[in-house]
Amino acid sequence: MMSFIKKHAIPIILISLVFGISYLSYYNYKTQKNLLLQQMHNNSLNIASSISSAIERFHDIKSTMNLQKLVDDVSFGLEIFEFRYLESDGTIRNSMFKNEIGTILNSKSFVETMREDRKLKTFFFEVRDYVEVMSIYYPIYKGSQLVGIIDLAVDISEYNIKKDSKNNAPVLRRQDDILNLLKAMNGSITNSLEILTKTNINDFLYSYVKKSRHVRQISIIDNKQKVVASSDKLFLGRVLTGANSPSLGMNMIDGELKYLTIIDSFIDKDSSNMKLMLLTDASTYANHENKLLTTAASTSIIALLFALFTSRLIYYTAIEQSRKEKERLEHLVSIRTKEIELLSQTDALTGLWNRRHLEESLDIEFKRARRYNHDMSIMMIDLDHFKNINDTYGHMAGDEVLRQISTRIKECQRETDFIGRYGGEEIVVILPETDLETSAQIADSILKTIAAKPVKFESDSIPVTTSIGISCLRKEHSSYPMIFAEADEALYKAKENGRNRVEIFNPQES
Amino acid sequence: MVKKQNMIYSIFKILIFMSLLLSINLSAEVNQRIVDELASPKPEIPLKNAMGEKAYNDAINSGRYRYVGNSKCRLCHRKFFIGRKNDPHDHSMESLVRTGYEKNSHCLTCHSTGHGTETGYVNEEWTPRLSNVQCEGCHGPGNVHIDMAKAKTRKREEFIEGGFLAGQDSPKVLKKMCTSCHTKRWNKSYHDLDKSYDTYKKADPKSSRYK
Ligand code: HEC
Ligand code: HEC
Ligand code: HEC
Ligand code: HEC
Repeated sequence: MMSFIKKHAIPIILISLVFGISYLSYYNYKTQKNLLLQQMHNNSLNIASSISSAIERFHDIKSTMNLQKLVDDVSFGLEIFEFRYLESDGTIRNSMFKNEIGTILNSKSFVETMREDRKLKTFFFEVRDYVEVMSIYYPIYKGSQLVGIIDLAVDISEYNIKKDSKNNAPVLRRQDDILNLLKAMNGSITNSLEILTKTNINDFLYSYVKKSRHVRQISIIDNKQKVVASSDKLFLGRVLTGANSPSLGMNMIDGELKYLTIIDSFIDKDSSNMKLMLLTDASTYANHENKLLTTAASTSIIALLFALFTSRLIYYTAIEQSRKEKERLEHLVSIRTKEIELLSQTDALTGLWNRRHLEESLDIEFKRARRYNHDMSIMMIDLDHFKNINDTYGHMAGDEVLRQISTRIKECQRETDFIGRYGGEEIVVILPETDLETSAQIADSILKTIAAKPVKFESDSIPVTTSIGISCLRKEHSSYPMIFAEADEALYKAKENGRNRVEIFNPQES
Repeated sequence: MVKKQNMIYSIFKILIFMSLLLSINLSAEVNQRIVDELASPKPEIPLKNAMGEKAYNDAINSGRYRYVGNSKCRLCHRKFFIGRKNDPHDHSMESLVRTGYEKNSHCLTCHSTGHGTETGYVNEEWTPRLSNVQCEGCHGPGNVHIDMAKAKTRKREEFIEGGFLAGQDSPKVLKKMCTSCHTKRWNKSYHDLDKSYDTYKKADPKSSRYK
């Protein structure tokens, strides 16, 4: 296990790095996504609360009618002392005094008017809140039906004309102005009455959705999961149970990602069991989420690429290094091999003793022979026309020739003889305890053996001959190179005399 | 009996005479104050006096402030409006009418609302809604306050006060308003300014005063 880890440390580190980074980015993605979802949910709650207050306002407006603004505008804007809008039974629907809305007007003049002691649509004078005013109860009809009464009073204390008001020009002018104002109001009131009876909650929700940027659908669901109101008319009356029941959260609807929330604690005046179902546009969420995901993925991919790149880099440097090391080693080995060859005693190609060993042996044998006054001969064998063989058949053939010649020579070897490769195509045989005659015989047999058959190399058969020079130890030799040089001289003579022959060194000739 | 009756009658006669004398004396005194008032230089506009000249000029010249009249205040402060109908300030014009000085700018400075400023009381024909010492006669122009209050009517509890040059947030100015009109000459209204001042926190100061 440990060795495995050690062996694969780098890939393991890289892989865990990639995994670590991927996990981190994924984790980050998840938390961000959750945050987004939370935000989405909170947004929906906010929207829901603003919708429910809007719906409440809608109900308010429907029940009180949007005359309040008119009342306020008139009260603040014009010199008008009192202004109310009453239902036909005297209930105050709108008033400049908000706390009396909903109560029934019971002023003396109004009671008299309702008893028909006083006429509608006629000016009269009275005191309200210690102030002398001129008042009128102005009826609003829808068709022939009385639907409301405007109660309007103006401060006339400055005129001080209570007694003969009818003749007072400024007051008459004031009456004209007021009647014109009331006519205008009558028009706008009947208008808004009409609009308000036509508008229903679905249209309201629809227009809310239309105006909103993110809300796609608003529905109100009762406790039996039935859609009682919706901005989407097709949705009305549906029962949201079983397969129809909506799944909360993200939904893919009409090719658009939408977020669905249901708010239980939706405030509704009539029933507290109503729920608000909200579909909001989640495309921005989807965008954000996509971005987050791509970021996470690209982080992981970058980490992966980085790891791959690094491993590649490490791999290449390792390979390069090992290649260099190998070259260095090979070089070293070749040098060492040469040294070893030198140090060793045999020649790698022919299996004969090598030159160094040969010289050593020559030295030893020479000394011994001298010491004990024994015979000793040296034979120098040289392949004839070896350069030609190399040139004609190639170096490989040359080598093969050398190898075979060597074995052939070895065949003629006696037990005590030393055969060594002196260099190139020169082979030297040391023949201890051997006189000239015997060595000449041996040389003869070597010559014959070699020339007997050609050397086979691949498809070629190469005819080979040798020339041999022999020398023998004599009294005047003081060191082995002397006898060696004589053998060489004999060999030269053999070459000179036509090759493929044995020549014995003759001291008289030189 | 008859003698006795006569005596009683004569005592009554003396009493009536004396009270007549007294009343003549009193009316003479009132007249004296009016005479003195007319003889002395015209008083400073009360709001200017209370705020100090610089602050007053800055505020009034900014053009932000306008007198609107108490029928507008009534829309939100109906109790105050009704309560103040019991207060002499709301009838101060009558004193001038009674004495025949209702067109005298000198007297109007203290007996009407905002007289002497551009948007204040001019005369009964042009500015009937600003006669008497109204709400704004003490608190200063009210339009800014109304705008602020209207903007906040939806959430009324958020709106506590504001918009006045002499409102609750500047009680020193408000107190100095009192003394700007209630000068040494016109000082019969109260003995203790602080106590009197406090009664005006109520809608009906008079009722609270005699309780
Ligand atoms: C749109 C309604 C509204 C109108 C109109 C209005 N007020 Fe107010 N006013 C308020 C409200 C709300 C407060 C807060 C205290 C309260 O609820 O009684 C207030 C407070 C005050 C205060 C006490 C706070 C302060 O700053 O000193 C004064 C004084 C006052 N109003 C005077 C007036 C006067 C004078 C007028 C007429 C020029 C007037 N108001 C008109 C709504 C109104
Ligand atoms: C713009 C001038 C003016 C200001 C400001 C003013 N007053 Fe007056 N005040 C009058 C006048 C004028 C009268 C007399 C009214 C009349 O009878 O004609 C009066 C009368 C009174 C009275 C007599 C009430 C009574 O029942 O007899 C009192 C008390 C009083 N003021 C208190 C105050 C206080 C307190 C203040 C300050 C918060 C104040 N006034 C601010 C002009 C002013
Ligand atoms: C500096 C402010 C001021 C001026 C200016 C002023 N008054 Fe007054 N006036 C008051 C005050 C304050 C009171 C109530 C307190 C009092 O009576 O001492 C009052 C009360 C009155 C009263 C009723 C009390 C009484 O004595 O009968 C009359 C009448 C009156 N003033 C007339 C006038 C006339 C006329 C002028 C103009 C010449 C005038 N005033 C100028 C502040 C003023
Ligand atoms: C004689 C001067 C005077 C007049 C006129 C006057 N006020 Fe005031 N008002 C005061 C004083 C003084 C206070 C107390 C301010 C304080 O709390 O420091 C006050 C306080 C108030 C307050 C706050 C009461 C509270 O709850 O603390 C309101 C609201 C108010 N006035 C409205 C009005 C209205 C509306 C009118 C006109 C109808 C009016 N005032 C006329 C002097 C006046």
